[in-house]
Amino acid sequence: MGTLVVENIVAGYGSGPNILRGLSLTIEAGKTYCIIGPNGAGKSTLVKVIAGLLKPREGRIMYKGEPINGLRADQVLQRGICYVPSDRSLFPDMTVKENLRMGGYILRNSSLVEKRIEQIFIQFPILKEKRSQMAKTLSGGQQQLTSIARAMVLKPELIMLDEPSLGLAPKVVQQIFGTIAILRDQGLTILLVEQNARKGLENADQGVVLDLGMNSFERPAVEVLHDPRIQELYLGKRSRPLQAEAAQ
Amino acid sequence: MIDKTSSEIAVQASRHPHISKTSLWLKKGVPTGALVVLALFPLLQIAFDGYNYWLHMLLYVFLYVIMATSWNLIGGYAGYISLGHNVFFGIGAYLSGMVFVFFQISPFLTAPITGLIAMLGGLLFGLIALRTRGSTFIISTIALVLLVTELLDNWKLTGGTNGLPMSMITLEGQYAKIPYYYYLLVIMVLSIFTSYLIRHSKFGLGLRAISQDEIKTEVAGIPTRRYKILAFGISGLFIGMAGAIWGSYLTYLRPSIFLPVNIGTTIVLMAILGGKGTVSGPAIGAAIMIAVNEFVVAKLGATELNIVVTGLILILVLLYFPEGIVGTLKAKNLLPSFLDWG
Repeated sequence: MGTLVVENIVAGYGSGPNILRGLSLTIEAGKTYCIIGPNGAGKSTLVKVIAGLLKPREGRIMYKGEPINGLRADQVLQRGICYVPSDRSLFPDMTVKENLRMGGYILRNSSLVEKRIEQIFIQFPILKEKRSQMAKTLSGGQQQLTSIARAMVLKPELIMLDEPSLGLAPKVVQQIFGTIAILRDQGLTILLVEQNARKGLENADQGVVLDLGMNSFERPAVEVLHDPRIQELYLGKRSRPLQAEAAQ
Repeated sequence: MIDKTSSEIAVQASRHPHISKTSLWLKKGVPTGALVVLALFPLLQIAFDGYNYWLHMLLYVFLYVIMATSWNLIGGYAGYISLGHNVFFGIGAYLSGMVFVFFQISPFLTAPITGLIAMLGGLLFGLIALRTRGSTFIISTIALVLLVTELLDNWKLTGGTNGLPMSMITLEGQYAKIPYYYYLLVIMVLSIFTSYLIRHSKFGLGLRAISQDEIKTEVAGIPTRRYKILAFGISGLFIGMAGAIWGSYLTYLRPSIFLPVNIGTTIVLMAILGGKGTVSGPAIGAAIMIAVNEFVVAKLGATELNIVVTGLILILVLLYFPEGIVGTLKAKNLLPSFLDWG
């Protein structure tokens, strides 16, 4: 059903070099994927390409059997794929409520948007409490929560979170992963990009390792978590390239 | 940090829950009362004469309230600073004026149509100029004014720099200003009401998003370019109408009356002084700036000194009210409810 298939994607910025160099990946509906990899591996680039913010140079992306590469960002949104960028992307001089309304902007039915916002307020009471406050006055964790909640207004089927724990205190990171767990329980497909590989993998079904934008190595998250080579990779000692593994 | 958050909650709590009946009464009553006073004011002139100066000053205020409020739609809500909004003023005045001179149709009849044509002109210009943003856009609006000035300065049909004289309204001096007064009053109310409606609409939310981050807005699914063009067009509507009435009021059209760049910048200053992006701010800014200017001129005479003093006052106000009078008071939760229109 809602399977997302990324096929041989080549992508980069402007006239710069290719960041993704023929990447393929299959995202099955209802599962949580955590994408890890060193800096520059193309993790964020991948989600931007899927979100329609960056046009791939080659390759295609299929969602529910239809190509979505080449669609504009708002068209991708219409298909039920939401992207929560790492900078949270809130409108700082708008209230929490207005930010949530911005999330549902493409919906024509504004009473439906109001209804969903009310539901979100029930789910996350802190947002209700802060609803008339400017987004810029919120703490980092509250901003991240608002940002995720804003994506939820569209009731997406697939949500892509780019480094949700970036710049947050450990305790707040814990809360954010708690929020992600709620989304998992609702049956959403989640694509999680994380620098905090351990936390990310602990909260995912599948682990995807990206290396130099070329190979994705996909295993159940628990396996990836305990793979000594992954730990090695994150210690910065890359004794054996992953290419060999992925080619098998 | 915790203290700050809890105090913020306290402020929110004191602001929101059940707004007391008196404050609700004030919120609606004060603007309505002001409107009634303005609507009845000409009766003084009719009954006693001798109030023409005040009528003229109010007409002047209405005119600039219309212009600053309209400018705010694109400059305040969407954040696209236009320094050339007086071009609509000129277009309105000349269109209606020429129709009057050549076909003897009263500007009172043609003003709404002129406004619509000014709006069309705005859409057309927006279609081209709103591809740019930031300083490039600002400069393009100045270029627009210079272009239209150049055209009118050299066009024989409009009398070039000498301008176009129009016959006066066939009313005695005692009553001559009154039709203009009511016409501009109506346009002013309409322009503020339009601004209010837009501020509280989904369209307005989109415009405000554009002013904060255009790329994010685009990603949220808003056709930003269409929105900006539309806002620019609508902002020309009431200025065009006001221009038609003002031209007839002055009985004389000359490019140097309507199109100097400093009229365009005055509009912007008024909106910023009152609080751009708020509904009531531009109106308050226009009224205050005209009042201050008039007061200074009365005290110091129309020397260069009055400009210096007005400038100083502006600097001082913006030093203490960086987001404009209404904007700053609102941010500090000090804005009286009767001025808080969003």
